[in-house]
Amino acid sequence: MSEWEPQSPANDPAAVEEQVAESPIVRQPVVEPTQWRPTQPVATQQLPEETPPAGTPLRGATLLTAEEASALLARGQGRVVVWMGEREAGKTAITARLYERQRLPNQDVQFAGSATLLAFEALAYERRQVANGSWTPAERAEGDPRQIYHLALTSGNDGVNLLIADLPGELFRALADNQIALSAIPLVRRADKLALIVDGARLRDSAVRAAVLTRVRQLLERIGAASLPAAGASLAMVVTKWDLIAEDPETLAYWHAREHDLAASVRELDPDAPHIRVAAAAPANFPQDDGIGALRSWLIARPGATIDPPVERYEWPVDAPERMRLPWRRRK
Amino acid sequence: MEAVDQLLFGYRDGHQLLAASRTISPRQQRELLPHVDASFERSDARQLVGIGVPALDAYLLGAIWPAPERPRPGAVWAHALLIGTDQLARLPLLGLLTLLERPRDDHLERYSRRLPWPALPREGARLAPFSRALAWALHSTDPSPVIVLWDFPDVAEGALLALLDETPGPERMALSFRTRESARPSSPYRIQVASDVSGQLGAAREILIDPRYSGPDSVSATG
Amino acid sequence: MNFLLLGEQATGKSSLLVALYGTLVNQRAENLRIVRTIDDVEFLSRGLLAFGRQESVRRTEVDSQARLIVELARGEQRVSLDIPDRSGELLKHTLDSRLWDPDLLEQVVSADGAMLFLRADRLEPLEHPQPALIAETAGEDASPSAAAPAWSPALMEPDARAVDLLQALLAQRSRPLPVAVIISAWDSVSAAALGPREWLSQSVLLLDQYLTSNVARLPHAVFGVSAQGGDFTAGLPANLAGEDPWDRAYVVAPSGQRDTLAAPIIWLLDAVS
Repeated sequence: MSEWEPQSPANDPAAVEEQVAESPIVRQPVVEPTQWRPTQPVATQQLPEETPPAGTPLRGATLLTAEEASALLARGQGRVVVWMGEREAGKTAITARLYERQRLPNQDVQFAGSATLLAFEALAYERRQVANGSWTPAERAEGDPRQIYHLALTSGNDGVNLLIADLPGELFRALADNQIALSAIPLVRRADKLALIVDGARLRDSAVRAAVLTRVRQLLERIGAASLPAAGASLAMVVTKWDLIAEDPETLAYWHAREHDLAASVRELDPDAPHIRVAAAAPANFPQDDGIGALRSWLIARPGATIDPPVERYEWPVDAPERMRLPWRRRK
Repeated sequence: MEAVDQLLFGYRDGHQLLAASRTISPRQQRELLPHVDASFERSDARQLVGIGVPALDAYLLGAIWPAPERPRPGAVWAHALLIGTDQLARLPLLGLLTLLERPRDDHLERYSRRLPWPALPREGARLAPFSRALAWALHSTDPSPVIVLWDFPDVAEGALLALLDETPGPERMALSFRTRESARPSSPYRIQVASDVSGQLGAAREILIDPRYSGPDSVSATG
Repeated sequence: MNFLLLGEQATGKSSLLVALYGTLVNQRAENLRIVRTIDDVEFLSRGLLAFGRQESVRRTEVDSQARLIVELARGEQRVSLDIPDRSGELLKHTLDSRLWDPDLLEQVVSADGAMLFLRADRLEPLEHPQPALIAETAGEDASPSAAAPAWSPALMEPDARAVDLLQALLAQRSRPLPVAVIISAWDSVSAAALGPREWLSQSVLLLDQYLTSNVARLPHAVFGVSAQGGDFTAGLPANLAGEDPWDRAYVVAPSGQRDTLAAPIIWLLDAVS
């Protein structure tokens, strides 16, 4: 049964406001990274000369503000999700794919609604155009307070609101380089699910792959220094664009030689942190699982719960070094 | 040189805007829809619509025709001119009727360009009893909507444009009219011209004028 | 009882209303019959005439005020039915412009139940269960398409549009709304072995999941409806051509069994009471 209900006249605004005050999502950063460009927000196209229309509007066309997300949390169980990764690391693709996944049959998790439904549709449309080469992806508007996607899911009688922050990658670049403090990104402190993003495409580039690993460790240091993840929050290492790694033996070997150590470092902060490989924009003929199901399971799992479905052991070649035989693999 | 914007509505997976010489947002289209859609009994009928559209800061003058050649029964074409408020107040309007043209084929590009304002206004047909009825309706102290009965509403178009032309510039935006086969109650138009009335009048008080009959009962009020 | 017909253009709302009227007037609806007709039904009579000529019902213009208002007898019980026939373009523009039409909003708030219309021949089940939204990259041979138009609500996928409508509707109501989901043009459904609910779960997954997850506020049942009995453009088969329009029309109930055109109405009446 869904625990998310769209705001209805029956809700007592005063009661909701009180609950919001108790579980706030703090407004997002004031930081002004120098490399942001003005962007077109994800919203219904509206001519600048239009006067505000009279009448009752329909919602869902824009992302949520922190206050709106807090109001949703006050009405039902939720998870604030933050993808910690640089620009073009695949954060938006994962967000889009989590929504689009619900259009596949035989899902063990049901779509229960979204307060940002049109924003998801716009995202899905734009992702298709990017893949077709007919679109340049837009960046978030500078200082835009609307940064949170909402996806309500149910599994049996349990419902959960995923509140997925769409934060500029530049923020995490600055955080990694210690140019800003973690307190400048309040959503990270508030997050229930923190995902450290490892950009699979950049791992394929021998010139920059080392920097990818450095970035993850830098972010780990910042998180650890801030005593995160907080009690009840979870950490994960998420390798994006896995299809690009899987198809390149050299990159695969490079990653296999290093992922254990990196995963171990992540688990120093959260012993239950999974290592998930996703291929959110893989072509239709990619033979492996896209990892979205496993990611989704982790996102909706309660803190401390065993991730369901469980991960399988990966069958290594018999001559692989012992240290590379790891217990964590995504389920097919 | 003065020019006027135009819009074309027709059926393509729903009745929708097919061509325009200016950008119309979805909300503005919503405002226009009731004035660019119709149902017809006769395949040779046509309706004329004139109404101010505050959302566009313009006056819509349009014609609607049945489109039996389209794939859906009840499909219509609507060709509309969007007259800016300044143009409406300043310029002669009679010639605009000549610009309204029903599409003949699928080549609709010509509806995407602004049209030159007609250089020479042409005198519309003057129908003495009808024009007198219109003048009476317009200058009556009663602000109620008016239904004027006339056997061939489309013939009355010139008289309606002449009425608009003769109205002082600042007051033209408020003068709305529509010709129909059957007039309807509770319509948003100040003046409807129709050959008969459908539905039940009286919920909104309308004045019914029948200039075809010149006796003492040619004007009545409903409601 | 006020029932809403919710569906965009050419989804079968008027066709169902015409076929339903024919069924009721000609007493083909088991224990449901018209006792009194209250409003002008010329548009319904005209629609039955069109069906008799094997012509589709005329589209409903945007500011149409047509509605079916009748008093029904259901066994010993009397019930009044009020079903407005609104233009599908009105609903489409409501979703595209993100602004409620005032009349439609008033009806949404006061409705006792609703019928949500989807066209079967526009939403075939997915043969390959990959989301259509995955980029179909064809390797080196893929060439970029021409510059795509900027996204707008008009570009929403049909399943998302249906969910958007229901979400917007629930946001305006404090009480549940029973919904009879009508899969129109059911005669075109190629996977004839599927019942209407199975068809929905394969063709309109997002909506199916949404309804399942929100059943408390949206109690619902899914019906397959053929108001015409077949495709007029292709010509009806001989065994149907000679039938009266109300006898050609049929409904496939949630159980998968055939039922009368009144089945969705009966379900709604039971759900509301």
